[in-house]
Amino acid sequence: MVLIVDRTGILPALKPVMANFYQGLMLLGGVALLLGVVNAAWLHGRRIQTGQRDWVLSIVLLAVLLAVFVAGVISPQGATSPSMTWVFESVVAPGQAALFALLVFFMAAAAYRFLRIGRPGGAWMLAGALAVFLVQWPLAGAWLPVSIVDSTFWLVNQPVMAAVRGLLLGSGIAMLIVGLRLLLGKA
Amino acid sequence: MNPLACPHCGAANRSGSNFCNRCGADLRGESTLRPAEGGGQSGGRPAPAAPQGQPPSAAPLPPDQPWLRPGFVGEDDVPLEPEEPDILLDVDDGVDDATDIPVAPGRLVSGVQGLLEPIRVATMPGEGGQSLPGMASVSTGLVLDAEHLRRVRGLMAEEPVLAAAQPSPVRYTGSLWLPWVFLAIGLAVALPVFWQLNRPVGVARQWPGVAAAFDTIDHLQATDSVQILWAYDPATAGELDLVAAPVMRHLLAQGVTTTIVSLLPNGPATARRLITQVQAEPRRLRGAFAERAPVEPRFLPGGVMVLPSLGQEPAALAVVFAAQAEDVQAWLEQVAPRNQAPVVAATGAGADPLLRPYLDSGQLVGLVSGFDGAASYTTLLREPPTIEREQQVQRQLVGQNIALLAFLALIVAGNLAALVGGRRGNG
Amino acid sequence: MAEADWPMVAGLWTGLVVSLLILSSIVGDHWLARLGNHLLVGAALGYAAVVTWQQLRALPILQELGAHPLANGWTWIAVVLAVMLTGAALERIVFQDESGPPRGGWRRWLRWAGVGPAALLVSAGLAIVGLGVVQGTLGPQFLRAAQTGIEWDAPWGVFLTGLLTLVITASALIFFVVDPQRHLEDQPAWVRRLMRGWIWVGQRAVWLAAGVVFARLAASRISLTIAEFEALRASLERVVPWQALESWWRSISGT
Repeated sequence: MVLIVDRTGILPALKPVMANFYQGLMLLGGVALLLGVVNAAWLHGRRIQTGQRDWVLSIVLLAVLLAVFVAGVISPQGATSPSMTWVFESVVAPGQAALFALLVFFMAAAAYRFLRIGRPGGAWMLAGALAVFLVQWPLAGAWLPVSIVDSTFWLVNQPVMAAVRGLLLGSGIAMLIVGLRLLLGKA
Repeated sequence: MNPLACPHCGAANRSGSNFCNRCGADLRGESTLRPAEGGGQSGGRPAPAAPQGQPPSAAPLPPDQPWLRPGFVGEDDVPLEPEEPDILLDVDDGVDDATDIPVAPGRLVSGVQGLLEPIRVATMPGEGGQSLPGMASVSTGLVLDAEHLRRVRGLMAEEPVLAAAQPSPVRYTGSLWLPWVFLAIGLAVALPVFWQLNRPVGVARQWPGVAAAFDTIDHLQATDSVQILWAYDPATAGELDLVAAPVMRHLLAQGVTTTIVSLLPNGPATARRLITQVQAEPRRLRGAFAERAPVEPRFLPGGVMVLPSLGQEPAALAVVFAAQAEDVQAWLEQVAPRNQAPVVAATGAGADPLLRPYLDSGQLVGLVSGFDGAASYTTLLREPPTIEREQQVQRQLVGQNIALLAFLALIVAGNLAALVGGRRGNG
Repeated sequence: MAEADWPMVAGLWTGLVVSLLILSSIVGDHWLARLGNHLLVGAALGYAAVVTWQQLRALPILQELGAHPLANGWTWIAVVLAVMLTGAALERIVFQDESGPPRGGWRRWLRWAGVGPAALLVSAGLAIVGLGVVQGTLGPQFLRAAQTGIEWDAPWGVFLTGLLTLVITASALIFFVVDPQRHLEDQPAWVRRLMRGWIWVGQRAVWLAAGVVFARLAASRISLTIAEFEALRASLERVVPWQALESWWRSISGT
């Protein structure tokens, strides 16, 4: 109820209270994140203790985690210190980028397997995909007729947009109902 | 050992049986019987005293099995017609049991002790042609022998198979060995980069929403403040840095005050890295706007829950750099309704279709997405190009050309494989 | 050649090795790929913990409490809730291998203590998300779907486009929400036919949208991979004597 009143803005006096409230949420959220890290560390510790598969790798993980955490905490600049910047630029950034760079391979496999006319809905998916592939293909920019480009833009901005809107509305209603049921204890 | 005759239906059962194999009558307390003497008697039974109405030679019937008394009528019994013969003959299933036990006349069915009396619908070879009246036409056409019976029992034990159903042919799925797919796409993407191919280049398309985003930022004043949500980290920086860089350059050139927040722990560092890179480029932008150093990016723990707190701060514009549509959605739901600041989204290409409804409804005033959005925005900025930036854009365009061709080839190959596989499966 | 900055060189080599270890998982699951993943996860978790710790210490309410502990009693509520949450969570983490109710009164009290802050987080989260969905998505999108340009004096193209948009929005929503077997079996035949028609249209519209999303997603992933290969190439150029290799190749090939 407090949140609803705050949203409507009819009670300006609620602002400083809500500011503190959101800061409290940040505190709880931050603590929850730290506890998540502790949980991960505990699980890997148990793996080492019980000698499960890849326990050596768990030692590596824990060692790196502790080293990074200690280096960050003892430094007065924290996350912007040279050591933390080095960790970010040398390990975290390249590693995460490499992980997501693998996705294109699986998308290619999915294109081979699922964009087929014989599959249920395959013809429609293929039609939508081919239309957009053609328009976003830089080489086609020189020779593709304007009418085809405009038609594809129309397709994306009208029918496809309408379908996505329908899905947004449906998922929004579903989220609202689930949330209400959870709040009212009827889940 | 002598077999045990069922007092109810007369069937032979193994000595020691508790229940009759045919009718289920309780045999406990019955002893082995002697071979029958004469007709109409269930011979071999020990001789209890005959109750009244019974022939003097018959043994007395156990009191807990009243159905054995002639003339017994149960509550749910349908009595046989007196002239109907008792047709229960011994079934010849090839086993020489050396007994030919005549069935006692009278009640065959009574009660519900599992005594679903089989009505003879088929004659066994060697039997007399006795059958129920009216069943002659059925029984003459249906002759079963032991072999048939065994086959019938075997079929009944198996899973039922629809007679009309044809077994579906093994479908050839036309699966290509996955490593070939990986190799094809890997080569298509890696070749232009490692061999530094300069063509084919082509032209990046300007999607709807890019021009509107440019105009909105171009109309900002130096006294305006802009909120920026940095919702991507190094995982997606490969694409988002392409999009964020020209937008950030434009914002810095406008001289606005920026507040940068991120809901991701790696977000602030990603923002710092890009801003440092943008500021290090030669400042040969149009106009002579003073650049203002952006405020240090902040990480907000707590996720979406703490976003509404940003709605309490007024702003002239909000820019969301996000890899996923959900982050833009969260801003539009939590912050925008509160401070009413217009929102420009700079996202990955994959988020573009999912944000079109918001662009259509006016909740988003501009949308810049993907490598083509980045290229279009850079063109609109009309900046003197730097060599690094030109090469970066060129390699993206060349790489996209070849990789998209590879995707199209894979799609064609997949459809051909399905076609060939379908023909093979249909013979 | 300029003197190499050893942290930079070490960083280049580390980044190259970590990238190659993780990229090698494309050929299959093997020990080296798992090593790369564990290195990355350890560093990322440690970095996230440092950033969070730093941000928590910088929170205004905590700084205010540190400077003037007794100024505002209400701010202590958040701290107390955080302590309760920490205690309950640590109990769950340490004894997560045990099943059944906790043995020992102090553990039960700890768990009960954590219920309050957890419930606050969940209920606040649900309320915030729910209000946002209504205010930010359902309201504006329903309104926009209703004003689709279906005006009698609009040009034919605009009118038809508006009608098509409305039909597709409604049919996609019906396709998402209605389960034909559960919701339609007791309905009259004409209702069933009508609804199945809507669902048919919605399904095809969603399939078309899925194809469009796939194509844009493919472009996005291609961009990521191009950028990754570019970063790899740049690293290799700096750690490997690329120019020497290039001149050796030229001398062999005669180019």
